[in-house]
Amino acid sequence: MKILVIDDSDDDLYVTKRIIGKHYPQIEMKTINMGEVALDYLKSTEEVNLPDIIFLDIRMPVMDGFEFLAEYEKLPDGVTQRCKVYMLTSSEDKHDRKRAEENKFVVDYIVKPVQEEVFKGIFG
Amino acid sequence: METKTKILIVEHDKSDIDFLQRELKKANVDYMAEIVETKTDYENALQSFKSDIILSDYNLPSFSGVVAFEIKEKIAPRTPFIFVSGAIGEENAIELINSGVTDYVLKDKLFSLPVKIERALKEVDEIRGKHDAEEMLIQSETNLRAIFENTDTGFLLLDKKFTIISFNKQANHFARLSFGFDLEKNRNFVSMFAAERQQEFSGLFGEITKGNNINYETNYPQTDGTIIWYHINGNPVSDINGMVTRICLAVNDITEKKKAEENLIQKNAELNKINSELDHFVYSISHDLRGPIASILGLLNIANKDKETDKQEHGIILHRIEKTTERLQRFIHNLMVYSRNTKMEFVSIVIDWEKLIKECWHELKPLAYENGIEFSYEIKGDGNFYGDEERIAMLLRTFLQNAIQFHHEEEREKTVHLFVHFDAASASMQIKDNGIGIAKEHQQKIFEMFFRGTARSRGSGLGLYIANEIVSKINGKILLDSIPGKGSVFSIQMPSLESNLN
Repeated sequence: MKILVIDDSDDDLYVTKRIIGKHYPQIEMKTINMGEVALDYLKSTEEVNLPDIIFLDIRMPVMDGFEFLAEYEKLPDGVTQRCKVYMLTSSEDKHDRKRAEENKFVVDYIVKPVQEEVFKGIFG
Repeated sequence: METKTKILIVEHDKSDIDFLQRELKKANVDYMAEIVETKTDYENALQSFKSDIILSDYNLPSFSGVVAFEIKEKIAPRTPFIFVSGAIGEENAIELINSGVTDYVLKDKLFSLPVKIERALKEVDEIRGKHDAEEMLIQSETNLRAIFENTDTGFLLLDKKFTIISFNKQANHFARLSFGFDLEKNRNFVSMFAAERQQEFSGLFGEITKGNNINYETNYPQTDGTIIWYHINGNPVSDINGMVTRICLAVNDITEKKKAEENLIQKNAELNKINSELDHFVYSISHDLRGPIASILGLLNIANKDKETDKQEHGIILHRIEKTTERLQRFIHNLMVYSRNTKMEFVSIVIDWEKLIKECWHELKPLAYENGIEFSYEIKGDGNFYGDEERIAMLLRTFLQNAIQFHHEEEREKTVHLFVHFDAASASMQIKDNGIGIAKEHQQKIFEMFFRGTARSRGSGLGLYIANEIVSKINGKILLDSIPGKGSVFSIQMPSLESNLN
């Protein structure tokens, strides 16, 4: 399984990497700290190498999580049908949660700090 | 109230007095009498007794009845005066009546006296009543005029064809002030206005002639560019048959009220803007505070739960927590600066640039050292530049910190240069770096609240926003010249606070 984590916080990437790395060593994980860079990566990656799951932060400079989703929608079906998107954010804002739930690509909304148990539910 | 008729009798003959009184009693005249004989007593009685009627003998031993009449004319001209005499003579009688004597009664025909008294009193009553009514009418007219002419409301009375019938001073004042003409009776009111407004008025006043009242607000641009607002209240005036015969207009200058209203609307819009900014502010701040805290909690979870975490990793985690906490601290510091700038009074002193720069740099030295940045500065100028030292220091710290933070990793000689140029009237601070620069499309946005231009923006997104607020508070301006990949030059120009205050 391949995952992509899009988050501008070094600390949060560190935490996510550390938990997944320890409990799910078989998962192939890539991290990107900017939305635009992630889009370019998804566009230029061969289908077999695309991530199965994207963890997406909301508050990021330049392009935030929702702006990313708006651009993500424009990507070919080959990409968007393959990847499941999980929001991974420190925002407990109701409005943010609602926006995420209404987005057809978003599978779930996870609030930081992320716990090991949450990944159990996702990766089994 | 006294109901008795007060009769002043001027007579010297006791028996004549008895006869006279007997006659009055016989006729049931309800009266009280004062009887005098001499001129002095008569004059005193006229003053003090205030009789309703005077009955006087024609021939008196001490003075004549004619003199008595003349005295009465001076002192109590309206009191009726009847001669009661033995003989007067017809010609004499006519002359007396012509000169104003009310009546006469011959002593041998005293029976007619009560009737004549009654008639004389009745006449007096009628005259007095008429006179009182006239007085009241005049008084009432004066009172109404006083109200009519001493009000802020302009009143106009028109007939159905809009011909002016009456108006008050205030109405004429409005006409002269706003339209440059004098109201005149018998002129057509509507025709006095500019052609383009005549239709508007005819329509409105036409409504009133149909029996409707109108309330209307309208404005008139003045030659000096200002606008005068009027409120016009128009009411139909009907005759006893209910037909509208007149139009009454009450005109009020509501310019001040309108200004206040507009002011209120503007204030409300400003408040709404502030309110929505505040909403945004609170939303963003809660996020910006929650983010680092969640990171710290995540790091702590790893350190606590994971038994495999070794000492070395503990060190890494602690270091991360320390850095993130510092970031939080800076964020909270920025919030404080923001709040201080809004509230802080201006303190104007002569700026010691050398000292100020050294103090600011001292705080930033560790950060510059950590990132391998060379700092240099140059100060040029003379004269005393007055400024708000604390605000200028806030600006310097923000711009220098940004210059350090957004350095170019691949640049071998990372530099930040500060150039200050000042005289007594103004000063400029130029902060130049050879860092990553700012993309054209971001050059305006960087001054917006919470804008963060790159993933390198580890700050609150408040720094430049606050800097911009400070600069506008001291009437300065910020110029930006930046090439992405090459570096940025921020110039802050500000006038002397002293010259500003003068």
